[in-house]
Amino acid sequence: MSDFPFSIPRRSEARANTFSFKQYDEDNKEYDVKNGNPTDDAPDGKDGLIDDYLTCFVTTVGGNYSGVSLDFNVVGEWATQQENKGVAIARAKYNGTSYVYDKILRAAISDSNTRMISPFTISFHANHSSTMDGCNGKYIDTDIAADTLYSYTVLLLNTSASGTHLFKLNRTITDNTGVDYERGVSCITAQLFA
Amino acid sequence: MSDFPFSIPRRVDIPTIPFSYIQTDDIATIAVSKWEGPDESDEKKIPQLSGLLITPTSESQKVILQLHIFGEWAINPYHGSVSFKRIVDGVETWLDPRRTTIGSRRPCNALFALSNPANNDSTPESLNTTLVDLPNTTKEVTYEVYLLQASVTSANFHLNGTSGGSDNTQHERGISTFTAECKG
Repeated sequence: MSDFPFSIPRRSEARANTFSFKQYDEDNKEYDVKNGNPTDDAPDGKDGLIDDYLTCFVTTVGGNYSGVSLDFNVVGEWATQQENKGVAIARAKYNGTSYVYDKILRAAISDSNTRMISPFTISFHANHSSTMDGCNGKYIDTDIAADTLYSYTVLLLNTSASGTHLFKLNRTITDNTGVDYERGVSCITAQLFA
Repeated sequence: MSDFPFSIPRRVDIPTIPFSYIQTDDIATIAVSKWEGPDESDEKKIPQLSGLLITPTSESQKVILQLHIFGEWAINPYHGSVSFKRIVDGVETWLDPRRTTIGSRRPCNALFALSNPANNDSTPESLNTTLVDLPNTTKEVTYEVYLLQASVTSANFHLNGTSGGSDNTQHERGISTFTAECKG
């Protein structure tokens, strides 16, 4: 039996694509990160961009959103000075052809201080071969436009006074097969909110 | 002229999930007295991350609190912690375990993670935590964030910066965020 008129659709589709994530569990990526602040339009200028492997995508097309809630968890090990390392998020906007980086989400401009969202931490600071570092953080991006595609990518930062430092993602520096040489999983998530 | 059947409502509003946030990049120094007991009012509010408002749409809704703090303790960072407070209709409730039988032990909701405990000048700590609160109300709820420490008479916490104020790459600057979202 027909339930006319209620068979006429009475609701729109639930909002889709409000949540996005990228999770990476391979241990085959490493980054030699130069010290200092990269620029907004060239976030990989210090070679710390974990492009593709920790990039998630957001669309504001078809919705009325006021912001994006971003969370990240990055694990791995720095070969030296984990106390001078951190994470920011590089945002890119789709221009119809490609994604173009336009802003690094991080602390406000502060002279020469390195700007980030969160620092790396460690359970045993004196070990740089078999003790993974971790970095967790969150950021609310409200500087978004309607009907736009964005990408958000984890950006490693080296805040040491000088030099280039090695980071191995999801693993310890030393490639030993013992149980105390851990492997991990990193991720970034994005949730649009109205 | 009627546009029947199209005047029959063809859509309903998708209810939005209550969500609120506070995000700050203010550089601030907060002096925290030594915590001597639950009746001594030694907890120190972080004003930049307090006053988060949310109104559940049903009494059964949970409120998911997520907090990220960047900053550095000037001394003994391993003795610093954070506690949440909920306020409804003027009634204040600590969300740490002090309402349970913990004796003189210091209650906390979360601890700071360190990267080098020997450096208290240019090595910031971070705190990341999640708490599920059950306020059991549809009234407006206020959440506040407090710092506690129990090692010295007074300890400074430097929000979003380092204890040392030098202008160089090693004295990092960060950002802190507090969110609340209703679920269920």
